[in-house]
Amino acid sequence: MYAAETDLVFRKHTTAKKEGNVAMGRKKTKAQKKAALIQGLMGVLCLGMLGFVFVWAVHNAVKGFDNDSSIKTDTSVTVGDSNGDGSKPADSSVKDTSDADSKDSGDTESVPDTDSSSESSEDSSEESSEESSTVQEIKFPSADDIDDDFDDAVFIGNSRTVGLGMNCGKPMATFYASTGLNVETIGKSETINLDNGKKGTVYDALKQKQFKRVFIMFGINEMSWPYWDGFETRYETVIDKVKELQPDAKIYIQSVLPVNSLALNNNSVFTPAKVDEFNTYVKKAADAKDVTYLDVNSALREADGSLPMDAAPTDGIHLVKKYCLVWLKYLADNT
Amino acid sequence: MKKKIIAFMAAMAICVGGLVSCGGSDSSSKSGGTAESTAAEKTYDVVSVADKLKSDIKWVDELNELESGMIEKVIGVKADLYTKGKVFIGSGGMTAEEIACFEAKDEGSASEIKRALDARIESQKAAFENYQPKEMTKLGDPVLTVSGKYVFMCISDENSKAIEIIG
Repeated sequence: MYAAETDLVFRKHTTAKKEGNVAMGRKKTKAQKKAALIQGLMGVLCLGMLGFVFVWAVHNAVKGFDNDSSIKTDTSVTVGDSNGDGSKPADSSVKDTSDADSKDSGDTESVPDTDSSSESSEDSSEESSEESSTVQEIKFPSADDIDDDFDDAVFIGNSRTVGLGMNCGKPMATFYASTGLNVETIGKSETINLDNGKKGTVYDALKQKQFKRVFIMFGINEMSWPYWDGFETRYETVIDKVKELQPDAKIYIQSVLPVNSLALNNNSVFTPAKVDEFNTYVKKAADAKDVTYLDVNSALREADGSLPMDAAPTDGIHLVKKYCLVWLKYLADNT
Repeated sequence: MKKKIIAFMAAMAICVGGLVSCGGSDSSSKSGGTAESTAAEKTYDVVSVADKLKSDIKWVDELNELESGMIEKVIGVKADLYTKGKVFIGSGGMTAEEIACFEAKDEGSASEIKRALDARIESQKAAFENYQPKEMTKLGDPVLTVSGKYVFMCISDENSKAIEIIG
């Protein structure tokens, strides 16, 4: 009996002890859960931060830290070989005739007059600007100084004529010109804004209205062609087409404008001597079609046949405004 | 579980917040595209802004002021849409660099001016795409901003500076 009671007491004690252990176990589980939760939270935060750092690093690697750096990647000034425009006669009309005698082959190599001044474009630009001020005094008119408003005229050509259109100060004049245009693409390239709001070729544009004067200048984009007589033939075709579309207009073929030594950076053919030689082909085309050849170069060239450096200080080809007005004044005075 | 979700969302919020705040300065200076500011009440002296853009930005081309009578002819903005305007253009064939700043007669006119300038940019893209491809960088990311009745266009290599000047 005693033994039985003792056993009962012992069992109760054991049971109570077990219950106590269970309770303690429960407490430990809650603490562990809290710790696990905190650990999880910290882990997520760490992952989040890692993710952020990764995304930020990738973002900056792709976009760059400096916005301008990605924009300024192409600050170098270059003109494609097929670029440029313009046409100009190298010398006076008297000289042009003599030039024509010496222009047998379009591909003949001629020594550029400007070679000696073209070692470095920067040096030459400084030297040439000094030269230009001493060799020839060019009077720079304002748009108002030019009485002719050219309201009866249309100008056809490439980027040089585009520049004239933007800088001439003559809102009544009409310009059918576009960058890169040449005697081959004039009838195909739909780059001219037509009156109906659409784009069309120069020929499409010429059908819209009759003009009294048509000024055409092509050549600089064609100077790199291997056969200059091919240029001449195509130029004659252009003149024929313009005559057909503008039967009552007087057609003027302008010489290819001179270039300065900066143009050599773009193409070795852009030398004053080559321009003069090329203009003999321009004049031949004009003569063959019995239209007037205008030696615009006589108003713009220096003694060595080159364009003043300050006339085209960026690329040696495209004229700045004050020289565009010299060009326009020549046209006003000679037509 | 709920706590884990909340913790995860908090972490994501921190990440997103960080990205937005870091990207903020970037996007604000990301001149490109055609940004439209809604600071309608702000006033500008468009002539001064145009002059400052010309003097403070490094230009490749030589820019000249376009006569008022030539503005519609060259860039297609009609004279009856604005009360003040100043436009600078380059030599035409060398670069696409241009500045155009207008105070329009009203906000409707400002929208029309912006449309004309959009068309000008597209036209220039067509002109330069095959002729001077490097100009496409400028034309593809022009500064063209409308703020109330003011319209600003600047095609250059320095968009961040242009936006800073325009303000």
